Amino acid sequence: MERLTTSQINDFNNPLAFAREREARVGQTQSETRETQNFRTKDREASFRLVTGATKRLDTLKSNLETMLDLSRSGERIRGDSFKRDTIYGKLRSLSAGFDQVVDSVRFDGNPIFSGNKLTLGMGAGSRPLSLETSKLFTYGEDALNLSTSSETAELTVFETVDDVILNQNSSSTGITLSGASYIEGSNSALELDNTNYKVKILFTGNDSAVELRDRTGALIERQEGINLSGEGREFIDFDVGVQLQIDKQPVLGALDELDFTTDDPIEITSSILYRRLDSHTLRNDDSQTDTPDGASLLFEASLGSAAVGQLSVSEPKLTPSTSDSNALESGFYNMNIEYRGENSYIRLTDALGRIRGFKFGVDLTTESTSIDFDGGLSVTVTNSGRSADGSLQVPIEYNRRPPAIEAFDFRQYTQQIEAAMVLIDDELAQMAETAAQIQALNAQRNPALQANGMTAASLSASSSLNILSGGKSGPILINANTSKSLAQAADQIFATTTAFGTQANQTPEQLASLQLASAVNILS
Amino acid sequence: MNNPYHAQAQAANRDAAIQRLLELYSIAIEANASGDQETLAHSLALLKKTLNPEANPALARELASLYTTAAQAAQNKQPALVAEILERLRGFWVARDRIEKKHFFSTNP
Repeated sequence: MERLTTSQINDFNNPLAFAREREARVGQTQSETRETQNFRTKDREASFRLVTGATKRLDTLKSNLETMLDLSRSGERIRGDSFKRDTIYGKLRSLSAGFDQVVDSVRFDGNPIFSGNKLTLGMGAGSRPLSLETSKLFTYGEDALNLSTSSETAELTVFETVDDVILNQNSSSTGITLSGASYIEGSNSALELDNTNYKVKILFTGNDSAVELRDRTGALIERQEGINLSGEGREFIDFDVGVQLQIDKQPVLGALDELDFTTDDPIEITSSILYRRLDSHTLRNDDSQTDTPDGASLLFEASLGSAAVGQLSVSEPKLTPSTSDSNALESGFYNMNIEYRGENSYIRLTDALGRIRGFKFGVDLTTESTSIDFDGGLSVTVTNSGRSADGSLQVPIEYNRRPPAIEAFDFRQYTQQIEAAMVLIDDELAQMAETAAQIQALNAQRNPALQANGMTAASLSASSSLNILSGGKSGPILINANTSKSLAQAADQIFATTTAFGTQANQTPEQLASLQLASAVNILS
Repeated sequence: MNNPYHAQAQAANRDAAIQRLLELYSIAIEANASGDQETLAHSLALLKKTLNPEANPALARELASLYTTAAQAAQNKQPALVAEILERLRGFWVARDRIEKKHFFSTNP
């Protein structure tokens, strides 16, 4: 594969790149899918075509794996060069996704052949059919090649349609924008949205706003109330349907907060989102990390003061999307230090070694509930129940988030995984070759005249060598003694000398390419 | 002398050359099956042209004679004979390649 540009590497390493479209809901399985059905070919020729076609595809798959093996080995040698590492990881990801596409495209009667199916190869009337059990050759899933992992996820795109823009014309001064939407893992799958567009309606009434999710016909799907959209910053709203919306607050007019929404109607802001169900394609081999779920928690409930004199407490530590990779927090223990100075408080976030990882100045903590978002991926809510005296509060927080797959990727282990996969492909190739030989032998027994047919002979090409080596059940029919002798001598030379390939395998790629082109043109004409 | 990277690169080159040879045979076989005389003649000519008698004169001679026979058979509208020759030769190369790889892997685990 050629050199990749930086933007290509970024595209390749995007967590949702190479994701596959998903139709079913999260966790939904059918009692019997088409993929596990037993299917059969109608006659011997169809069986043979299936086997030879599958063999050819297996060769493609094997060469794909060989390329991946080379890449993974070169990945092992990289020490600290993240650009090279990203490049190789991106290429591996692209190749493994291509691998799945090839596996998925080898189909018979609409069913993928290499998905652990049992095939019954019809041998024509009067012959017992052969049965062939193929392995599951996808890179993901159980009993498969274990080269990638797949998890159910979804991609959400926020956009504004023309009618959104028209509707928002009167309310653009609020400074409230729907800036992002993401999928929440592990939410109620029965409620999952479909692959289509949805409307988001923000009903702005200051610190008690509401956000509605509606379908295209305007029917309400879910409504979240009591959202504080006054002030400045980001607000995350979780919906039970498995969607988290991010709303940016950059008020242009401070006066908006002064509006009396008990008498005024709420200001409405609409936007659209596109929901796409996906199965992600990730190369990850850090099994040790799978035990700790993502999340943040307080090690103990810490509060400043008491209910009698007014209390300041911290609750609801949450994970939020980090704004950039560079300041993303790593998993571990953090200490949050709140210096309460009323409207001008400040908050420090330090890691276990005491290094400052987040700082917020001039935070107004006099309101009942304030959401503090450290851009590295952690947000907490500070609750003030009547506290007015200055003071300082220490809050320990445990923060767990799996690092991006690329950071924990072990090329050495992946090399071993690829080698194991190659063994499986070799087994499959051997099985196919054996089956092809069986079909050919049966063909020769049942209908020797077919051997002379050019079409059948061409389709039987893959196994001819095996047949010859195994004693030649179908002997030459047309070739004369001289040709037969020439072939025998050629065979002697090919097998007995070390110079055989040097004699014939001298075609340049250009020569072959021009021939392939000519051959394609002739087929078309 | 004993550079493993050099050996690896050489093996890769050799593999690619063999794959090209097998592909060339496949093209010829398919052309013969589909009655595409032009491509068949072109493929046979290419096979003949790329013979290297210096490597193994005896083999080169046999192969050249077989390609000539095949080309004549194609002209005489005997596709079955052409198929027989080409497929057998392709089969030999496939088998030889597999044997060699097996040997390679068994001595270099």
